[in-house]
Amino acid sequence: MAKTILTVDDSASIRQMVSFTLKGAGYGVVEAVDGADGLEKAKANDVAMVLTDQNMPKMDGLTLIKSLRAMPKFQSVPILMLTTESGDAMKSQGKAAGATGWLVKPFDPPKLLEVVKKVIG
Amino acid sequence: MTLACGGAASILAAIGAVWLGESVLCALPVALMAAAWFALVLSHDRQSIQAAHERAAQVREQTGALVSNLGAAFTQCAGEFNAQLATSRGELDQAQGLFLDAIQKLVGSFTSINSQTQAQQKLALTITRGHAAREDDVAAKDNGGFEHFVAETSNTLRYFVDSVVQSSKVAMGLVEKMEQITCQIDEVQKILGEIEGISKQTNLLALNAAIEAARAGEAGRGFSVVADEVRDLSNRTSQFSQQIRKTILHAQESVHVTERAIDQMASQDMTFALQSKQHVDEMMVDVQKVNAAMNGAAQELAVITRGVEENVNTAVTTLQFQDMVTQLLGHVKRRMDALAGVADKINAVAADLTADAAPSVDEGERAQGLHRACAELMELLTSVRQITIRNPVRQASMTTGDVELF
Repeated sequence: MAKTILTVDDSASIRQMVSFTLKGAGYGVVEAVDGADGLEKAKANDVAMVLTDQNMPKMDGLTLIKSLRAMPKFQSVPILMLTTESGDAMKSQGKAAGATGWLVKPFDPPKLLEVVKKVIG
Repeated sequence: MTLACGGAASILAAIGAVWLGESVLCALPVALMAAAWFALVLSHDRQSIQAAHERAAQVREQTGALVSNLGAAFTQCAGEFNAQLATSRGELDQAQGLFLDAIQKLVGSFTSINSQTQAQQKLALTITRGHAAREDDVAAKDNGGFEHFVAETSNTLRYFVDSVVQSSKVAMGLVEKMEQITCQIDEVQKILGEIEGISKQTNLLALNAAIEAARAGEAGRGFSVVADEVRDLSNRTSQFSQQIRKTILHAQESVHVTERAIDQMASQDMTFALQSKQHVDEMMVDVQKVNAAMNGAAQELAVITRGVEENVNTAVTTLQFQDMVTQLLGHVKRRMDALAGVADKINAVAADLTADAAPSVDEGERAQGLHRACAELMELLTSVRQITIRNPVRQASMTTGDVELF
């Protein structure tokens, strides 16, 4: 049974590239266009991992992570940030909010697959 | 001011003169002079003050005009800034629009090219292997394909050639047997020859016996009969011998015919089989060449596939430029919006300046107003800086970013 990954980003091209990379490796992918949509889709689907951007309208990435971690279903689901932000302060905030890891854009497809495999197999 | 001091000094001199006891008559001219001097000074001061007032009014007027001009200049500046910022925002929106349109098409054609390339690769592998596309499918390699067909044909022909060789051997054996029969026939013919010889001699002897019997007269009559019988037997033997000879000859001919037929058949089969085997061997060489070419092509394909994979990864990384550039453009827009706010503030300050330029406005109030406006402007500039200080995109190239697991 293929594992499903939720990708949350307001940029259509990022969602498409993430989808292309993950589907090519056999994972299922669900897309969300912002933090609020991400929260809804997370609740509605059985996801093994979440990959989210930080700067998005309606709800940003850090808020989404905090909301997910507050739900029992997502206590131990890996949540990775995929964002242009690379500052240490932001990373610390992410870690404190409950992020599992931090990927800086642009992502390299083999590296992304390596991390995903490490985190969910 | 100097004149007033001079006047005061004259008055004091007059008083001093009186005090010193000089007669009033003596002090009077001095007092009169002092008074005249004081009157002069007073009238001079009044004139100066008048002139000063007039100058002050002039300066106020000029300041007012200057401030008014300044106000007008600021208003124009603000207007121009706003116009330029509005145009720039419009151009940014245009760039964003172009981006969105181009990136959708680019991503669409990229994913199409990728799936078509993968289909091509599968097809090429199918052709080079002649069966299932997966290279690690060893069982499939052994069971299918043109190479396998040719190998089977070659084996079949080999069995055929072997069986023809066996038939040939059997035929050779038959031919040997035929030759043996021929030898035996020759032997029989020799024996027949002996028999004929004996028969001839027996005939002669019988003739001689008949002659002796005739010589013996009556006593030889019995002997003459025997001699006749012997001659008869000899003749019959000779006849039988001829018949045997004829039959033997027929047999010999049959043997020869059979020999030739077997020979011909054997050599034909062998020639055909050897020619076929040669054809198949040549075909196998060709098939091996084709196979080698296919293997070479498959290896080249593998190298190309790896190259395609690397290029696909580069494309996927680079296509993410749209997101970063969009964020950067958004940040530039934020700066412009902040600057537009500053332009509006300058406009307001300019309006205040123009109002303050009216000559009726108190100078102190005007100065206070300007100071206040400057302070507000400084505050606004500080907040603009704070709003725009954080650029969400620090990347200056499309080099892939770091990965960190907490």
